Amino acid sequence: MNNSTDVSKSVYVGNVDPRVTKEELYELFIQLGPVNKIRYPKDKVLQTYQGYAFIEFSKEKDLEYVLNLVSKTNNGNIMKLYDRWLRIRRTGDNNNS
Amino acid sequence: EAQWRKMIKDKVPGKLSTNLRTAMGLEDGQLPPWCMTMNEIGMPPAYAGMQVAGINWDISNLKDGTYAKVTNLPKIGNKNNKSQ
Repeated sequence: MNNSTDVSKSVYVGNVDPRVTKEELYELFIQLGPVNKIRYPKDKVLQTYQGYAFIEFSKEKDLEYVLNLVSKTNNGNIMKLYDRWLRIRRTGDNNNS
Repeated sequence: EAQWRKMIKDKVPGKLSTNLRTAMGLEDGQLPPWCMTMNEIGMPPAYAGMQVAGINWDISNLKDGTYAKVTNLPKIGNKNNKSQ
């Protein structure tokens, strides 16, 4: 079983309200580009979502478009769920908080 | 995985379910926040020819959760996907 996402095609999404479902993330992100895969981890003990997800797009150019779109919209505030702005960043990019 | 295949079948770009619109706080007749930026930088590369209501598609198409139209939708979803 392969649970990882391809870093070169994925965004990290943080500040996700635990009420958000994987289906909602899928529906939201396909608005910006085709989604291959979503990793949305749950706490093993509590069985609640941990507040972040990785969204893998179909192609690198889809990812680049999404990052560009996010950066040019309302200071990166492009998607809000349950009154929380999703934090969308390139996967593996830790210098930008 | 059956659930993933169902999602791929049910969800399309250009349409937002009532459930998701509620979670987003998006009211009837309101365009999602990314539409204006799409107008500036161009439509998603995978959705060439995407038409957005009020931008390059008649505003009257903005109803029942639909805000845009994508023709020639590429095949999406990884058939080997086993994530949960």
